[in-house]
Amino acid sequence: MSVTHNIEKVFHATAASLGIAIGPALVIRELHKSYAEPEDKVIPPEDSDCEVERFNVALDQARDELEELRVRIQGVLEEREANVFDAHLMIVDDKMLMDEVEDMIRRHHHCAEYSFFKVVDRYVTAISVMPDPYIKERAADIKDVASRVLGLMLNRQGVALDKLTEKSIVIAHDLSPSATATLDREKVLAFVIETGSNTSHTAILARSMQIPAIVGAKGVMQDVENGDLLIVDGFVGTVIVLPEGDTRKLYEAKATREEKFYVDLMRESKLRSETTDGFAVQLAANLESLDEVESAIKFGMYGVGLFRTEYMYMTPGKRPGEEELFNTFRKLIAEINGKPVVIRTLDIGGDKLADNLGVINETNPFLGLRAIRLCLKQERQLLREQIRAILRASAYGNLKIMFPMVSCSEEIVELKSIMQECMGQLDREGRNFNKNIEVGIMIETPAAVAVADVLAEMVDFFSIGTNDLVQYTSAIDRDNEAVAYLYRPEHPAILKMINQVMEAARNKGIWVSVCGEMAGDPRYTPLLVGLGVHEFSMNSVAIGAIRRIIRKLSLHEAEEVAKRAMACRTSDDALNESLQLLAKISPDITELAFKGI
Amino acid sequence: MGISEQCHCDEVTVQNSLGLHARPASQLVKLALTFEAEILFEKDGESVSAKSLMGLLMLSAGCGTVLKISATGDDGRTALEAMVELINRKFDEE
Repeated sequence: MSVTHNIEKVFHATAASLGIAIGPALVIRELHKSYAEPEDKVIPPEDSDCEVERFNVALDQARDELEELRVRIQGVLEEREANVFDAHLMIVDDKMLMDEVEDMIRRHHHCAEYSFFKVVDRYVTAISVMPDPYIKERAADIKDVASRVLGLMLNRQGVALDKLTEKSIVIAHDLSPSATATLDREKVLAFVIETGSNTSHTAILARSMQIPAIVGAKGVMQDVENGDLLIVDGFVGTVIVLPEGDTRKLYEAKATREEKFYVDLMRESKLRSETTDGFAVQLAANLESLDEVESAIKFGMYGVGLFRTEYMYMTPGKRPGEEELFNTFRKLIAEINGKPVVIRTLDIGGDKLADNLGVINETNPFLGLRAIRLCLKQERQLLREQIRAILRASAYGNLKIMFPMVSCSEEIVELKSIMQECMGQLDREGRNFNKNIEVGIMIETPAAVAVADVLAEMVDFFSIGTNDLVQYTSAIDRDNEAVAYLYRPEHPAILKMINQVMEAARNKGIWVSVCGEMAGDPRYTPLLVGLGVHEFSMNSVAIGAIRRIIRKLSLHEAEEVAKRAMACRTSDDALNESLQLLAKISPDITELAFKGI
Repeated sequence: MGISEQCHCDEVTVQNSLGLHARPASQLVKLALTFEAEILFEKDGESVSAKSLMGLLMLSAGCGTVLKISATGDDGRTALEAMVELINRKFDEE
C-alpha cells in the first residue's frame, strides 16, 4: 500500500439523503467491471491438471448460480424469455470453449483465468462486429457470463447487499433502485455512488429508507479500498476517506448537533401546521410500506397523502392478489388510527422497478406505457384487483383512491366505469365498501394542467406530482446528468402551472395536494403555501422542518412571494424570492434549506 | 471409415426472420446435445460444432443463409434429420 493512501481525502458530490455516517467502506466492484484481461501467469506443466480443475470448479459454481437465478425468474418471465436465459447456461456448458481453454492451459501453460478470458474475448470480438444486430447483442450475454466466471476464479464475488455481516458504508459505481430497496438498513450505514442525481429513484429510496446517501461522486471508487474508514455527510454531500483524528471528532460533534436538531423538531410534531394568519396546511406522508408508518406518526403526519403500491410488486416472482392488497390496506388503516389515506394505483414504467411485470423495453419509457396507461391497456385484471381491494378496505377507514399519469378526461371516464363495475360486483357479493369514496388523480402531465378545469369537474381531488411535472414540462430526464441542471421546480413555468391547477380546483371546490419532492423541500415551502396548496405530502422525515417554516410564515406574505416568483424572468430569481423570505423568518431553517433535503 | 462412422450430410436454408440468434441457436445446441453424433454446421467454408452455442453464433447465419450440416456417428442420420426439421420449422417462432 502506498503512503499517499493514508492521507485524508475529501470528495464533494451531491447530497441525496440526510445524515452523517462514520464507518468502514465496503466497495462493490460491479460484475461488468471484472470483464478485463487478467494477469497472465505461467503454469508449469505439472500443475496443469490442478489449473484445469480450478477452471472447472469456477464453471460449476457459475452454473449453480445461473440455475438458481433461472429458478428465481421462472414464472415471472415468459418461457420464451427464460429460454434466452438458457443461453447463459449454455455458454458455461460450451464444450468447444472448454476444450480451447483446456488446450491453452495444458499446451501453452497460461493460467486458467487468462486462458478463459483470451478464448472468450476472441468470440466476443468476433460477435460484436457482426452485422446482424440480434447476434451482435449476444456479445453482452457472453461478457456477462464471462465476468461471472472470471469473478469466481479471482474471488471477486458479487456482494449480497441484503446479507451484510458488519455495519458498513457501501461504495459503488451505481446502485439500481431494486438493489437499493433490498439494502439491509441495519447494516448499511450510508452509501455513496458515482452516478445519479438527487432526484433519481435511488436517491428517493435512500431518503425514504433514511439511509444517508451521496450520489454523483465521480471517481470515488478509485480512492477507496475495502475497510477504509469513511465519513459520509449526507447534509452537504461530503465523503472523507481515511479522516484524521480531528476531522472525525468534528463530524461526531456535527452528527450529535444534527440529531439534536431533529429531536427538537420532533418535539414540535404535535403543533398545528398553520401559518401565523391561520391558513392550515395538512402535512401528510408519502409511504410505500407498512414499515414506515411508525416513524411517520412520530414525525407528526396528518395522514398518508400517497401510498405507493408499486413496492408490493417488487419481490421477484411475487405478484400480490386482491386479498393480499386488501389485507395490507386494512393493516395500514388500523395502524394510523383513522387518519386519511390516499392509495395510488400501480405507477410502474419509466424509472420504476418493473422486473416483475411483463413490461416491454421501450425506447422512451417516460413517454411510454406507464402507470394508468399500462393498467388500462395491458394489466386490466391487476387494476381491477387493486380497485376492488381499495374499495373493500374503504369500509374500514378514511380511504381515498388516486390514479397516476392521467393525461386526458377519457382516461377518467374509463377508470370511473371500471370502478362502477367493481362496485356492482362487490354489491352482488354482499361486501361492504364506501360508495362515496373520494376519487383523485395525479397532475403530472402538462396536458392535465391545461385541462385542469375540465378534470376538476370529474374528480374529488388533485395531487400534483411535481417530479414528473417538471420533467415533462421542461423536457428533461432528471437521471441524465448532462441535463439535470435544468431540473428546476422553481422554474416560473412550473409555478404558473401549479397556480393554474389551484385556480381550476378553487373554482370547482376541490382540494389539492402536492406530493412530489417539492413538498418536502423547505426552499419551496413559501411558494407552495403562497399558491394556496392545501396538503403537502412528503417523506415523513421532512415533516418537522416544513411544519416549523409554515408556523412562521404568513399566508399574506407567502402569496406576495409566489406572485413575484411567477413573474420572475429566471428560475434563480424565483427561488431567491422564496429564500429571502425564509432567511427573514427562520435563519436556522435556511441553513437546512441549502443542504438540499 | 466404418459404416457406423458414415457421414450424413444435407443443406438447409435458415428461414426464420431473425436467423440463428441466441434462442434458435440454443435450441439447436440443446437438440444436438441429445445425440452421440458429431454434428457440424458449415457456412462459407467455416465449420463449427452444433454443440457449441458460441460456435453457432459465430456463423452469423441470418435469414436466407444456406447451411451445410453433417453428422457423423451411430445416430448421425436421426441427428441430421432432427436438426434440419427444427430449422425448417423456423424454431416454432413464426
